Amino acid sequence: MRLLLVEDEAPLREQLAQHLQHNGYAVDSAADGREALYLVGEFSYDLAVIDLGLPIVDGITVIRKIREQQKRFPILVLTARGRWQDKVEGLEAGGDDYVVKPFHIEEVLARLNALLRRSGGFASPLLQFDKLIIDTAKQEVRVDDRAIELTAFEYKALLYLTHRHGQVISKTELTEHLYDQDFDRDSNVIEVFIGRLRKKLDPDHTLNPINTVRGRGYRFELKSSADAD
Amino acid sequence: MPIERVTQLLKNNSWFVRARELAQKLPAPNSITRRLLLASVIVLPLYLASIGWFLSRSFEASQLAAALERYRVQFYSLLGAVEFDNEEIKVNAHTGDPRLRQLNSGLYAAIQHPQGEVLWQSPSSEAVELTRELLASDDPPLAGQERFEVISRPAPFLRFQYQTMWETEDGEDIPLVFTVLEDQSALRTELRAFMRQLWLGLGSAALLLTIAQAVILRWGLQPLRKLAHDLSDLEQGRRAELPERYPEELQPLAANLNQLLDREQKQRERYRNTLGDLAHSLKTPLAVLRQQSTVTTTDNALLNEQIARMDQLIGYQLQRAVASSPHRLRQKFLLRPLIDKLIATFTKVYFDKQPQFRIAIDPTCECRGDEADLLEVLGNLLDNACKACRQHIAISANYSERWLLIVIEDDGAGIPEHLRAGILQRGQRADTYQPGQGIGLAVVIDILDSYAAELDIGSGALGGARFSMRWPR
Repeated sequence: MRLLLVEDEAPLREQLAQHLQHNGYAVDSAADGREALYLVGEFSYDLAVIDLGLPIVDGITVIRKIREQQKRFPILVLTARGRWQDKVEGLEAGGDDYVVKPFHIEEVLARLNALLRRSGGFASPLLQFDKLIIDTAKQEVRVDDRAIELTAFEYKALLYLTHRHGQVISKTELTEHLYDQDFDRDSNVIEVFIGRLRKKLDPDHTLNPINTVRGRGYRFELKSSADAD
Repeated sequence: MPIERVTQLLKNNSWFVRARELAQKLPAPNSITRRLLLASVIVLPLYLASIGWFLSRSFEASQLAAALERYRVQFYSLLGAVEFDNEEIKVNAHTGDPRLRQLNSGLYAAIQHPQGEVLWQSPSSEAVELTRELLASDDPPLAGQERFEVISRPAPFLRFQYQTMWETEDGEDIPLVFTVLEDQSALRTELRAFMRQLWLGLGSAALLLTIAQAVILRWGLQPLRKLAHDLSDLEQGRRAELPERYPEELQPLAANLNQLLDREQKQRERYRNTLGDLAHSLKTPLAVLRQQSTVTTTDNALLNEQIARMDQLIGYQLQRAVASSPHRLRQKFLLRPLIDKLIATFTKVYFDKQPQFRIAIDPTCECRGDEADLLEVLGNLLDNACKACRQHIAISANYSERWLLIVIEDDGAGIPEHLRAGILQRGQRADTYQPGQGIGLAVVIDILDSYAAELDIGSGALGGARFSMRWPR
């Protein structure tokens, strides 16, 4: 999950980036609105966290311009002012949710989770694909009621695949959405990584959740059994 | 008379003392019209009275001058009519004023010796006892001199006397004193008639002047009244600034007021922004601290608690500072778009819950105040309703005579009666609020307070809490 983080205060930005990376996000940071808009034009994001009080181009304008470019990824608004006027403005411009500073990082992570789930079209925090159940609230994965131990990174990769279930996702796209910009884009790494995920989810090859489409990429095959809307 | 003596006299004068006490008791008039009228009520009679006094005095003086002239004429005609016959004086009966021959006519004449012996007296005076002593004088003027006097006792008379030397045919000079005496009552009557007319004229002039002045004042102060009216309109939010058409004396005032309003508006905006920036610059380091405290493994419960408290305090005080900025101008705005904006926001924020809003607000329903303040109040109330509700929230707005009544109901668990009063208590400090309740309601109550608006908590028809807010119209 590639996330754009726009925050002008360096210490907070670095802390947040660290936490987000720790939780499996590929994070691109921007310190001002102009840099943010440049990144949005260059890369494809799944999520953004944007502070409203930004130098050069303010947060509201950044959000508005993102939406003008028909980019629909969810945006979490950070605001220090906490007045309803600011919150309403942020959401009117195109934000999807807000967090008032100072916040607990858990709250930001929970909101981001909810936003991701919503953007994948799932109304409930519990995603069910055949025997595979993903609890996005607790970030737990179970197969046949058996808890699967995934790293944060593996969890985000699985989530990305399930959000696009039935679609073919190229290795490049997967790399882009899972790894930081300076990652060495060797396709072998992705293959090894997907192989490990398969082994964890489906050790006895009965489920086959992720198929390889030769020459094109991967496809998450399981159908959402409950509430894909 | 030295000044000290005069003031001493004034101080001891009971009338003066009483008047001063009365003046101290009277309230100072608070209206310009009343002040000017009061001043003219005092000045105008004084002015007219002095005019009347001078006019009556000069009328009297001219009356006397005319009388003197008349007596001189009488004297000369008498002088011409005198004849000496064997030491005896005879006056030709057919000369002079006919009143001299008419008994008791009021005009009398006599000729006497300087030593007092009356040689002749006019037929008019013959029956009048009184005139005899007035006609004969022990102390006549010297030879060749005239004397004119006003006699008030024993009766009001005017007397003219002249002593002349009469040369007889024998070449003997005889001193003779001529006296002309006139009853003053005729003159008095004339004077009284004049005075009556004078005072009548002056009185009606005073009345007319007072009325005219009242009308002039009303007309002259009209622009001030208009200014007051416009200012009240401004305050009530019926207009945004003062109109540009005032008399040139008031124009600078109106222009300055407009400028002041404009500056105040901008300043308020700047304060708000500055406070917002302050909040931003304080809260961001707090956010860093908070992250840090969760990262480090040491015992940081105290640190966390203090950060949370600082955060609450900053938020509460900053919002309060912005919310309760004084001299707020009460502009009008539509309520419905505000509610729609908030509902769009809550629909996004409570995406999973999908609360259903039922809105009964007329699209023309207007509200008076600062839009940001009402947004803050409604934002907090609706946020609470969204948290509390199961599915449904009803929002309605109605006018009463004095209030705009906005009611927000939800279908949640409601608020137990014993907690309601505590939630609405004013002047609570931010840090006495329980976590979770947040500073939202404290800010709401502060804003409502600054608008003299009221908030009640009750049970609604949907089964949950019912917040009814009365916002002044």
